Amino acid sequence: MERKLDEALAVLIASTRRVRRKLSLLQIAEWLEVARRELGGLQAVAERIGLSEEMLRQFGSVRNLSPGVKKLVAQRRIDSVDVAHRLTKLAVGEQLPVARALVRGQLNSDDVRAIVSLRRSAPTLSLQRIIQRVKDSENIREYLAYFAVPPDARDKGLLRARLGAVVGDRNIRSLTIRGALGTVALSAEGRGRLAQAAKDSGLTKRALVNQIAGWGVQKPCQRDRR
Amino acid sequence: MAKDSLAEKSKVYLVPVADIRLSDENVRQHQQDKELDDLVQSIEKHGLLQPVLLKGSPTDGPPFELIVGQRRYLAHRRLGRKDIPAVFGGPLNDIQAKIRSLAENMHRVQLTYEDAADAVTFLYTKLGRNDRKVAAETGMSLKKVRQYIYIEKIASEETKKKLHSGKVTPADAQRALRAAGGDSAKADHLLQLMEKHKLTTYEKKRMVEHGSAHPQASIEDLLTEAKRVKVEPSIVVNLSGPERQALEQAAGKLRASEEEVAVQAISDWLRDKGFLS
Repeated sequence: MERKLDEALAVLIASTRRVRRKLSLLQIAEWLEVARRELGGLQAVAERIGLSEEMLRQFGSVRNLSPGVKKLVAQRRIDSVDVAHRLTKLAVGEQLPVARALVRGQLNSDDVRAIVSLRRSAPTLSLQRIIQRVKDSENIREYLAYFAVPPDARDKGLLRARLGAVVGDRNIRSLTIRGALGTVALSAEGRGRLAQAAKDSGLTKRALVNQIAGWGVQKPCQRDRR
Repeated sequence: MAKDSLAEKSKVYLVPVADIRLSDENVRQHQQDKELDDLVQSIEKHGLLQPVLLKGSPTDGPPFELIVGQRRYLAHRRLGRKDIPAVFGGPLNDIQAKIRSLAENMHRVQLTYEDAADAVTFLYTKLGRNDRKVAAETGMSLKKVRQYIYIEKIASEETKKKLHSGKVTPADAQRALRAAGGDSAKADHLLQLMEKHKLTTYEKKRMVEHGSAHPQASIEDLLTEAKRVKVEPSIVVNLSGPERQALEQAAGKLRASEEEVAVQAISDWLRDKGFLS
């Protein structure tokens, strides 16, 4: 029994503070339950591993997610304790649609927070309407990328055409060239297409933009982790 | 000596319930009976897992002041128990007692907004109006401490009543006050509009942004700007491995998004260097 408790505490110490965890949130929640049962309460666990009771309560709340969402957590497609905890604040039947939209990239963590908050103040609105209200109220993101323009490639029309071929013309919100400095503003979709093209070529986004700007083919380099 | 004192403080005594009186320093002053039934049942079934904390030492003699564990004490009284397991915290002054009580209760679900706000405000006054010290002593985040102090200082009685009854969240009360430039009557009106129009978090944020930049803005203007979707330029920057990891850690620790932390860091730097007023 003592060994089981020690193991649970060791797992919790190793897993609860790290951003890159080896275990899923669900596994952590199960170990937390073992420790809680053995020590008699969350406060005792918090004292033993030096983490706040509130934080542990968030980890523990993962056990209250609906079965479908638990599956996504087990697969680590949802791996943020904050997001998982916020999802538990929705009714069981509403958790999965939101979680799925999050996994598909249609929602981000800020959207989930906004959905939970709006659901609290508008309990009679349908979930679909809540999600729509949140998405419609979100600011439109533009992604700015700065790059150096070679002296012999400052034809804006040509540069726009080359960029458009990669990210789609409609996704270029603006393109300006001031001396040797170029600035392109892309929509979220444009940024996604740029990222995908960079990944396909084994380049970073910046290296790809430089290549499009006319600096020639750059050596594939170590991609950053993002 | 120190060892003896530590052993003394962790020793559990069975103290007659009748010899205990509630301390004014206990932060839990409202809704003490709320959801007490569960605790009563749990104590009846499993006994008391954690002793209550009393002020002073056993040799002081009764009555003993209860600093932490008010609900456990009330549950014992309801069960008609004669004794309760207790530890003694030594001769705590009112500030130390309040800190112990708040720190113990803050991370529990049941502490009401009113109790937490009263305790934070008390400590803030007693600790030389130093919000960082309050945060350090209680283990609460500085952001949370500042939120309590700001609301308690500026909010109208009407807003406070809504907070106490749970009709309004502290985050919304703070947003309304900031959007109103600290004008509590205007903030009351804004809170009503937030509720009436079911504003989303994004809309509330825009309301605060506009109100902060235009303190004279009318209520109508604030609502219009809240609903006006804006184009928000994001600058894509490449971070090195350690920088990225540090950002992730900060976001995790502060329970904010990485973007929020990055924006705050840039904003702090710009302000520090005099580029932003």
